[in-house]
Amino acid sequence: MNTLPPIKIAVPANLQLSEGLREFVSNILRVVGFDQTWTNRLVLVVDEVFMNAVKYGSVENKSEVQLSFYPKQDHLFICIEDEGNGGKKVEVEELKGIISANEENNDLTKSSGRGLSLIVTNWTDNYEIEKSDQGGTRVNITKYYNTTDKTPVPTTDKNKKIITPRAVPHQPEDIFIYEFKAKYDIHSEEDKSHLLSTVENCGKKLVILDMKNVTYINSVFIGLITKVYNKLNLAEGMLALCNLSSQIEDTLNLVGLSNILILADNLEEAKSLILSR
Amino acid sequence: MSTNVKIDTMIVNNNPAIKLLVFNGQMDETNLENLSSILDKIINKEEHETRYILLNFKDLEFLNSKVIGYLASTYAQANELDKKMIIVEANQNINDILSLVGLTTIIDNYNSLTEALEFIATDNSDV
Repeated sequence: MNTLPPIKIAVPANLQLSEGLREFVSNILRVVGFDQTWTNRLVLVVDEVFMNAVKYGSVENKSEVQLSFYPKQDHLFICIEDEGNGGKKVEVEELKGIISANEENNDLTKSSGRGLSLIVTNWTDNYEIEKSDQGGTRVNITKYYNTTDKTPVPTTDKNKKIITPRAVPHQPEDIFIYEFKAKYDIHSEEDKSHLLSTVENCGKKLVILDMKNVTYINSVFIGLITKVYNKLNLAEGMLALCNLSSQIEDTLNLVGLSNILILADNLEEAKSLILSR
Repeated sequence: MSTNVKIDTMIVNNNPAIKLLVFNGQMDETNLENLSSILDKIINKEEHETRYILLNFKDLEFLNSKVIGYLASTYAQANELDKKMIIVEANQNINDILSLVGLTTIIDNYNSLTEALEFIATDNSDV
C-alpha cells in the first residue's frame, strides 16, 4: 500500500456536494491502494457518515464537516467530524442508542437505519463515535488493508459458497468451542463482550459457537456474530454455528449470513465441516 | 444541484403489465425525488395495468442507504397492491451493497432481462 501524508478537507455541510466528495474519496482510496471492491465499499461508508454529519450535526451551508484520511502502514484511519450545531442535533450517546436500536430491527422493509448499523459496521474493521473538542460528533473509522484480498464479494446466488482449499489440514485440537451459557441474554453488554473477548483470546482460528442455549436472536446479535466472523476471517480462520433452532436458522438465512457461515445441526457435524474446509 | 442520474422508463415487449426503469448515474438523497416521482405514480396512482416493475441497475454507479430505504419501503407497498418490483442486471458494486443490507433476500434479482421475463412468464400466465 502507498504511504501518504494525512489528507484533510473541510466540506460545507451540503448534501449537494456528496457526489463530488465521493469522487474525491474514491481517488484517495485508489491511490492508497485499495482495490475497486473496497474502494466502492469505503466510498459508501464515508458517504453514510457524511450524510449523518450534515443532517444531524450541521447547519446547512453554514457549518463544515471535516474529513481526514491517515494512511498508516497496515490500515487507513478516517476521521469525520461535524460542528454539532445542527437543529436535529443528536448527542453521541443518543446516536449510539439509535444505531443499537436500528441493529435490533430485523425488518428489511423498514425505510431507514441501515447506514451506520449495517454498512459502517460490516465494511470497517473498527468504528468509534465520540464527542469532538468543538462539541460536535466525531466518527473514527479503521480499515485494514489486508482484508482487501480476503473478503469475498457476496453474490445473490445463495448456492455459491467460496471455499479456499487448505495446504495443511486442520486438526481437531485447532478448534475452539464456545457454548453460550444457559439463559444467555442478547441484550447484556457483559455477555456480548464476553463472546468477543473469549474468541480473541482463545488463540485458535477455528471457532464453533454452540447455540443450544440461545433461543432468540436480533440484529444486535447478528452484528456481534458478523464481528466475530470478520475477526476470524482476517486471521484466515473460520466460524461455524451448531444446534440452531429453526427460527434462528431462518433469521440467518433471511439476512444472508448462511452464505458465509458454516451452519451445522450438531457439534460433531460442525467439527467435521470445519475440518474439511 | 443534485447528483446526476438519468432514469429511462419503457414498456417491455409492448406489454403494459411490465415496466422497465433503466438507471444511469448515481442515486442519493439529492435526486431520490427523480425516482420517487416515477415509482409512486406506477405503484400508487395512475398505472393500474402495471404489474411488474423492473429496475435495471447495470449502469447505476452508486446508491446509499437513503435510496435503499426508499426501495425497501416501496417494495412493501407494491406487494400490498399486488405489484412486484424486480432488480435486473445489477453490477457488482450495486449487488455488493444490496446483498450486505439484505435487500436481495426480499427483492428478486436477475442477471439479465431475459431471465426476469422468463420468471414473469411463469409467475403469471395472464401477463
